[in-house]
Amino acid sequence: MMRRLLLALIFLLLLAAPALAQEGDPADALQKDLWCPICQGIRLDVCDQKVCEQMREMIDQELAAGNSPEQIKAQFIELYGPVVLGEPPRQGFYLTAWILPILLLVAGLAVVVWLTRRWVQKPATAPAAIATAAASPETAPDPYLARVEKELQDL
Amino acid sequence: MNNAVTSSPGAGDQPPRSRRGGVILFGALALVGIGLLAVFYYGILNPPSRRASEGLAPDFQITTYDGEAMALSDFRGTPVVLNFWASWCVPCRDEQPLLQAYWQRYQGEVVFLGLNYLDQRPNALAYLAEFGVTYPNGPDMGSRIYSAYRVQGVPETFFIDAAGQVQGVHVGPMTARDLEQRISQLLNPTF
Repeated sequence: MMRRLLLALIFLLLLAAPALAQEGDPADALQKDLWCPICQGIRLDVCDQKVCEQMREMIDQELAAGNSPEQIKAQFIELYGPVVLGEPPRQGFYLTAWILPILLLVAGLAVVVWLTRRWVQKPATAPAAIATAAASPETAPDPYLARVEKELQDL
Repeated sequence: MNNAVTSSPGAGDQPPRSRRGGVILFGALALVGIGLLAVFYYGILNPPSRRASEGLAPDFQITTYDGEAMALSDFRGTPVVLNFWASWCVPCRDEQPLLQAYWQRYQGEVVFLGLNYLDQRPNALAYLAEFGVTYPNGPDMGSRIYSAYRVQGVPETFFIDAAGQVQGVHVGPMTARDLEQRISQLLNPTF
């Protein structure tokens, strides 16, 4: 019992670790949340470009001035554009980038469900057919038996 | 044998269910297909590689670092040298003295406009002060103008004639010869 509780506690701590880390240092959390605007897929906290260096300085200055991380993020979006978020904005045509993967997932699930149902239903018909055939062998004349019968008569 | 299979009791229920599943599946796939087609046609109509290297220069409005609001169309009738730059851009520093010198030389004949890209006001002001830049400069808020002109990187300079048509683009830092030649073409289109 104690062992299970301990494992559950460790699991919860692991889950909460990123949140606790962000709570610890808002500058670090913001740097991990923002992306280099001139690179391809490089986060602000690991980028060595001059533009990113300036962005990190701005984060420190704005936090020191008492601005919240959300306010700072909004400033970056206003100044640099949504590119700093590293993801398409959730508005206008960009919404397709968010909706299409969900639609594809739904379509994929529909295909899986449909195929599974077909596979589950099909085997039920085969044994039934075999059973029907086995129950009334006379209805299905066996050509081999007919030939034996004919040869016996010829004798 | 075949007769037995087709007349089994389980097979009698199958078609309606299968048809319903097929309709749902078809609907879901059609929805995805329509979405993909929309993206496809949007991509065709808005090719990302189409740069403003010719044709009418996209109009824009800025508020300069001096607090003056202006639009590109305000300068219709005068050629414009539109330069994208950033304080963190090393090649921009190389060409900045040249731009200021040519602005002073052609003042009144050609308008010079600087658009500050992915930058912060204090850094931009320090840069302008360092090079003693006196022609209008302002921030490209949200990189909207940068996107409209499909700029590849800084520095990049667009040469716009008196009719507002883009006559050429120079990617990267310019030499005195580049700038002289481009300005001559703007002032004398048959050059």
